[in-house]
This record gives sequence, structure tokens and C-alpha cells, in this order.
Amino acid sequence: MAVEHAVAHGGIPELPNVITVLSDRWHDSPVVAFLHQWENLIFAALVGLTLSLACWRYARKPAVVPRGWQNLLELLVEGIDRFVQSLLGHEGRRYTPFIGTLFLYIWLMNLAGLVPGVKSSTSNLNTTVGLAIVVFGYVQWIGIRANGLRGYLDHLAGSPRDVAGWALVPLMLPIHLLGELVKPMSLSLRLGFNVFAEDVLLGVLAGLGLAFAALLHSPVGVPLQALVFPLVLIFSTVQALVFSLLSTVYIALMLPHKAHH
Amino acid sequence: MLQLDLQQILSQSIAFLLLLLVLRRFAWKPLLGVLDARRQKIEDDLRQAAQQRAETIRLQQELDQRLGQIDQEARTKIQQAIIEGKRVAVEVQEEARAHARTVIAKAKETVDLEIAKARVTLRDQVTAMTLEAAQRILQQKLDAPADRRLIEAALDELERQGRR
Repeated sequence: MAVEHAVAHGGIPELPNVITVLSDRWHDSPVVAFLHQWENLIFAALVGLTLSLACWRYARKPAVVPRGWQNLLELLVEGIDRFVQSLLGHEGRRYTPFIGTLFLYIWLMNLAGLVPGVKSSTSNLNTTVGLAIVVFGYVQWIGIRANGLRGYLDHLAGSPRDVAGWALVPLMLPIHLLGELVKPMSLSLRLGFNVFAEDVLLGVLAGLGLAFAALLHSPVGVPLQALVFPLVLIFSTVQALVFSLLSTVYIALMLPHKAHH
Repeated sequence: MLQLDLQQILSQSIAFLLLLLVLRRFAWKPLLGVLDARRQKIEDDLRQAAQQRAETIRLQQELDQRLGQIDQEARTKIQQAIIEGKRVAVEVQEEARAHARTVIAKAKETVDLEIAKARVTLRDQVTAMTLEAAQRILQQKLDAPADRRLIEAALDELERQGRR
């Protein structure tokens, strides 16, 4: 099925998901076409909904002595909080919800590709660009709020303090602007292509497993993709961490230097 | 994968912002709050434990000091009691001696008196016996008062001789 699916989708092997299966079967249906068009958002929303429900269920009224799933959530929250504060200092606490949500959302979307019938929304650039735009906007807003509009513009102009500095403004301003714009681009491309590569790897191995099965006349495919599950687990986590880490670094770079300590 | 769609990009951005709002309300705020509260409680408990430990050590030292004082006071009182006891013993001994001396003196007086009484009685009896004997020996009537004076004089003479 993966091979057929790959052939049907421009030759790039990807594991089929519930929506692509529906699309393959009822490709003329407008509802299925709509679902297929918005599949990345649908799976992202599914992950977001799961995360929201889990948090609502286990973290809404946390007990002083944690039990069950609250332990796991506290472990994640405390770990992320320490991670953010290690980079931004004690003032970093106010950015923990943003960075933490970003990490958990991306991490779970990356891992969703391992669930049969579900797709990693982060393997699509629309998702990663959407997230990167939010990070870009948040970082710029933090820059304006922390430095003031004048300080923010001064930062973009390279903080000119003498004649040479002002003379370099026409050069520094475009460079800084370009630098700010490149940041979300690099974030989105890195995450999107890495997760896409993982999905392709899983699809290729699943296709190979099916080929083996056909060769052996087996009714069930050989799950070769399971061999790289540990690798995918690690990469998914690392990519989510990299995205979150870089976002935190961008925030740190935008904050006044005294706040870093 | 590579086809960018502005609608989808904005939808993803909005979806993330919604998730951020939900998690901020239901996860980050309560969990970070409870973590801070727990950290604060642990810090307070540790500080309180340290204070109690310091207080215990202070009380222990105070108790040791007080026990030392009590020990010293007890030793001093025992010494005073020993001295007082010795003083009372000496007084009692002195009183006993004085009493004994008084008793002995009284006894001596009584004995002397009894001896004197006995002497008088003995002399009377001897006088009577002598008279009786003289009456029987002489077989004659004598002038009793004159004889009596004579005999008493003789006896006084004898008594003086006996004393010598």
C-alpha cells in the first residue's frame, strides 16, 4: 500500500494515513478532498486536542503530592522550565509556557508519525512555517516590549554610537532584518525536512517490507520500519529540542543583556 | 511538502496560539504554581528544621549548663549540710556532756546525803546498842541524859579518830 500510495503521490514514499486511505478510495468525494487538503492541520489539531485534554484532565487542579500522569506532566514542565531558565535566567520563567508548548506540540506531532494511520504534521512545511512565523512574531514583540520601539530599532540598526556606526546603518539594518527573517526560515526548513526525511525513511522501509512479503508470498508485510523506530524517537525529540532551543536563543538575543543572568 | 499555502500556514499559527492559550490556562499556570509552592514548602520546611535543630542544640546547651549549676548547687548544699551536721553533733555532744556532768553532780550530792543520813542512823543505832550493852553490863540504873552525852562524846572522839 505504501508503494501504491507513493506512486500516487509523486513518487515520494510515505506511510499512508487514515485520510490518504480515504482519499485513495473516494478521491472524487469533496468531503474527502477537503480532509485531504487540510490533513496536516487536522492531525496537528488532533495532537493539540490530545495534549489539551491530557493537561485539562491531569494538570488543571494539581495535587500537592503528585500521582500517576501528573508526575509525568510535572517532570516535563519542570524540565522545560529549568531548560528555559538555564538560558534566560530567572526572568525566563515568563517564557516557559511559550517554549514548553512549542516543544510539546512539535515533539508529539513528530512522534505522531509512528502511530499507524496518523501523519506527522511537522513533515509538511506549512506547519513548520506556521510555527516559525509565531516564533518570529513573538521574538519581535519581546524585542519591542523589552527594549522599547526605539531600542528595538536601535538594535536592528546595529546600535550606532559614533559616526562610523551611523555610516554603517544602511548596511547593518538590511543585514539585521535579513538575519531576523532567515531565523524562522531556517527553523521551519530544518524541522520540516528532518521530519519529512524520517517519514520517507519509514515509508521506504515499509515498502521494502511489503516487497519482501510479496517475495515470500506472505499475506502479512515484514515490519522493517520498526527497526528505525528508536532512531525516529531520538530524532523526533532532538528536532523538537532544537526548534525550542533556537527559539529560546532568539528570545535571549532580543532581551537586554542584564536579563540573561 | 514543498507547496506553501498561506491559508494553511496561518491556520497552523492560529492552532498553535489556541493550544498555547489552553495549555497556559490548564497546564503551565497550575503546574508551575504547584511546583513553586512545593519548592517553597520544602525550603520553608528545611529552614524550619534547621531552626529547630539550632533551637534544640541551644536548649541542650542550656540544659547542660543548668544541670551543671544544679550539680554545683547540690554539692554546695551537701557540703553545707555536712558542716551543719558536724556543728549540731558537736553541740549535741556538748549538751550531753553538760547533762552528764549535771547528773553526776546530782548523783554525788545524793550519795553524800545518803551517806550522811546513814552515818547519823548508824550513830543512833550504835548509841542505842551501846546504851543497851552498857545497861546490861553495868546492871545498874544510870542517869540516862548524862550518860547519853558521855557516850556521844566518846563516839565523836571515835569518829574523829576514824577520820584521821
